[in-house]
Amino acid sequence: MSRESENHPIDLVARAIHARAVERVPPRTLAQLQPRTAGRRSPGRPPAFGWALAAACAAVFAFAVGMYTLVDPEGSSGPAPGLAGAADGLSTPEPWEDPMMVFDEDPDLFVWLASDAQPVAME
Amino acid sequence: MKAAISLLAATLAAGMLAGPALAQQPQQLPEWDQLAPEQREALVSTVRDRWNNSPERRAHMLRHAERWQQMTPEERRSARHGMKRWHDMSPERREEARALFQHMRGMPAAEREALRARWKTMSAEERRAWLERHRPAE
Repeated sequence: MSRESENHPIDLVARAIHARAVERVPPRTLAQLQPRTAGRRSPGRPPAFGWALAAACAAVFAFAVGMYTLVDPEGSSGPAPGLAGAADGLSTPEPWEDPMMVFDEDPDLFVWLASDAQPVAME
Repeated sequence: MKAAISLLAATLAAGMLAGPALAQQPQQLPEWDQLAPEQREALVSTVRDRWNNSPERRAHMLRHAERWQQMTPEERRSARHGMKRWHDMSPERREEARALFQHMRGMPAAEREALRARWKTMSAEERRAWLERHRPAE
């Protein structure tokens, strides 16, 4: 994916929705999920049926969860405390509260806010 | 096989406990044209709902979407940076920013600079009065 497409409106919306979903993952769950996918794979050996089934179920869950997040964009609970500021900088998705910000506000307003002519409204 | 079943059980448990947790699983998704209709629907539904529920905002939405399309990659990067700042601003600061932006955008550079200098010297009350006089038209 190119840098240009990363800044495309639909991509920004998708990233914001994704960031909101990631915020809700308890750190302990993340720690439990990640090591299982690395290190145990034996190269050259075809994946067993069980692994395929597990991967398929994970994909179904991911899609269902994504649908849930889109249907209920505000969510029934807020972001996990302490995680809201974890994503910083431009290379990671920011935890924007409203992905529709892309369409609600004038994009030139955002450019102005980022300009060196520091907006006086922020002082 | 036993390990796979363990993974599946862990996946189901995590799904029930963490809800959206599994959305963060890395996956390679195809181009838009190759997405399933359900996936396209999931992505578009948020925009469509806002469009249908806010007739008074439709012209803004369309204009903003078209402007995003016209922006250069550099402008889009700046806009993303500005969005982060916007996210961190209070509602009052956002109102000020909207008004100042709308007012300044048509000004010659010298006048913009003068307003910026004047704004810094204004009291809170003077700023409120200025905002009342220059509230952006919807």
